[in-house]
Amino acid sequence: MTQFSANVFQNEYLPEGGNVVDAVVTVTSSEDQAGVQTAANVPIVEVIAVDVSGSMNEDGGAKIRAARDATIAALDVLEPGTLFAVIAGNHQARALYPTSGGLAVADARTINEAKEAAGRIYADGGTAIGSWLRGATQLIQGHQNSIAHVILLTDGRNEHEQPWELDAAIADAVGLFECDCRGLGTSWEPDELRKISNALLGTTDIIPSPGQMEEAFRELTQKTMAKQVANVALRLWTPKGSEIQFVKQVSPNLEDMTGKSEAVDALSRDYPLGSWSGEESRDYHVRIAIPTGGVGDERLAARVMLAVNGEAEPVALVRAIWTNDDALSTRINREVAHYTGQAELADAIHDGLAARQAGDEKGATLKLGRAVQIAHEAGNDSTVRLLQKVVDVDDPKTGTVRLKRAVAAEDEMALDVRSTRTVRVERKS
Amino acid sequence: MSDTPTPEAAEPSEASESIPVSEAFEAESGVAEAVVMPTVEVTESQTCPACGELGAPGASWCEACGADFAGEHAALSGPPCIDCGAAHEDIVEGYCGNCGRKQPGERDHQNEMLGAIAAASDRGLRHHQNEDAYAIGQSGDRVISIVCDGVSTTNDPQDASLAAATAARDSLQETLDGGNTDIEAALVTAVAAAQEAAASVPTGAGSDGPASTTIVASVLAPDPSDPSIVRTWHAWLGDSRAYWIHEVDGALTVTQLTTDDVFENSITRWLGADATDATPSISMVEHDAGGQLLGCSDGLWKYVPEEDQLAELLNRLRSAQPGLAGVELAQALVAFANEQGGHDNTTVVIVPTEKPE
Repeated sequence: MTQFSANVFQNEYLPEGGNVVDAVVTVTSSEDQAGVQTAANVPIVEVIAVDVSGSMNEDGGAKIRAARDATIAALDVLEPGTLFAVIAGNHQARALYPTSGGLAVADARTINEAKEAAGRIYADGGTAIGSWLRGATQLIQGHQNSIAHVILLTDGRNEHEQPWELDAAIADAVGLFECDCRGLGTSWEPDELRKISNALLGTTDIIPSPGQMEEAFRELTQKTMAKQVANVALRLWTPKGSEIQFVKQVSPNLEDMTGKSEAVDALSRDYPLGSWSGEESRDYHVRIAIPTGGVGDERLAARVMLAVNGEAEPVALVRAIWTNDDALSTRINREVAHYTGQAELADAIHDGLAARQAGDEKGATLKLGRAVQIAHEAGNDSTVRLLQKVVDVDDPKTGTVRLKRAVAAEDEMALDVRSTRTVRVERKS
Repeated sequence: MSDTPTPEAAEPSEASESIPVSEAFEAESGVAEAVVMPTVEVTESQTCPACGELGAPGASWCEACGADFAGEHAALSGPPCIDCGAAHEDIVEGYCGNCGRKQPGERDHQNEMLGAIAAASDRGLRHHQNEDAYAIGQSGDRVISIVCDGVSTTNDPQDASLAAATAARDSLQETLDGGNTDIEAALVTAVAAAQEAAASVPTGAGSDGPASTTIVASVLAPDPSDPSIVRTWHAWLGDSRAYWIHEVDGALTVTQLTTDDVFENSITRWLGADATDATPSISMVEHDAGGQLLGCSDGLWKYVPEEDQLAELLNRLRSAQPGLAGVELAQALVAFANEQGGHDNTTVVIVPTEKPE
């Protein structure tokens, strides 16, 4: 049985007239803790959509061989009973396994057949990613109550369909399955894949070389196998007259969820959190403007609930207390400050890379220098390392950096797509 | 969300105000059964118990939210929201389900008499909750008075103060009921019990330190052989005080019986998980019978820090209202603190003694 609990980190004290409440909500799933209980044994669906466009023949066939090996590696870690399929994608989607077009039930026979089919993957044709998503949607449509996940791999841009076709395919898939997107090499478009993974509650990352693909596929599949609960939502009750200014996932990575909510009733909204394993923890930063109160008054700014398949249980309170004690109202909550900084870090990297590409060396140096400074302060070492491939760091404390003359394309792309990865505040146990 | 009303929100005085409303609805539905078409004789505008909107006179349902006054919203089980007027049943765990406003807690405004012992404790005007707590008790002719003031900058100080006050009182009650006459030792044991209780308050999720509280524990006992003498014993940590009030030449004078553990506006000693030294200061003072013991938190004495200032206040209150005593006096002191701005929680315990004939 998976159960959910939540902790709120905030400074609940507002100055007289203050009306904006910031809070970081940590949601944790566990197998035994008290909290919301959910039914186990939800069926799991895994669909592997692998790029077989002509460009996969590059590198002397290393990419297409890696696609075969990676697909086989993913099939090898499927738990018996998993519903699965493999889609070969180019300018159209082809059901590689099962060829009948449905989902297979994983057992020794079906996995072997699928591995044989994967071993015969060959590359030709163009790239129409929307058609792969549509293929996955057709396969998964009849399995609404499952934990459905798609691994989508491409090595190129979405060149053989109109952007609106991809958008429509994404819209049809929302709520049906989650999708982690991986770009092989450096000829793909991060914004295209981010659009998909953001809408479908997944991640986008770079696989710099074919040799790293097998491990990436295995890890993604294992993550899906560990899932226990589907259709989890963060439900926020906020008082009449208030406005939820934003809801962002801030750990393990930054993801703006503000526009993804659905109204439950006049005062409550659901923010989809997708599926969860039995031992996960994610952080969310919420900012709510509420009707102000008098000094000494207390108002609930939000009642935080976890909804699983529509059944909600309250798990935490976000509060507002008005005070004329400046020592209380000016307190800075560590978690809120930390994640505000991590969001600024992602923005600085994004803006710095954009300036660099536009030839604005001064702007790029300033922004990437600021990024180094924040990442260093926050102890975000992996981001510091990514930045060091793009800039030479003279002093991380002041953010004094120099742009590197020669930067490998994959390093710049890795910094771009991984800039939203955050670290957590070190907490006293 | 649960519709279960919480005990916190049930204020007896306001609950009684709501009774006529539900009676009106009952009468209304009774009429409806008898003559099919209700002939409702309500002339005043009414507030919708569900959403708080003011409805037309005689309306049987709310035009704003559609609530049927004769249906599920008819029976009010408690007072509506103090802010928006939403029905009592919309109040969830002490917060209004419409506007989010926290409803008055049962500790916000407390008054109590136990025999001749009077106590009043109040949230004040500037704090969102009452973090003071008191506990009183009697064992034969001996009286127990405990005042605790939770430290605002710690997590859940209101739990620490209540736990400490209750534990100290219970410990003293048990010792004194058992016939023990070593009151100093009884106080040391009681403060140790209070420390254990305060230190057991869960740490909570906030980033502040563990819940902490002050304490002033007093025992008053008449001399067994000389009715003209009473003695008071005091054990304390922090800045909650005990005073002796007595009449000299027709005017009230005040003697402070405790010394504050304070350095540069911060208390130096307290009870709680992070208390470095929870050994209380102890004093015993002999008094002429006829005076009054006053225990209080700094919510009161910060406005009258000197003995003569407190005495002046007491004389002023007495001349404005001759005979003011007991819970009325305790309430008057709380009201004074709130008139001065009510910047803190205020708690007062008063124990009068009889002058021998």
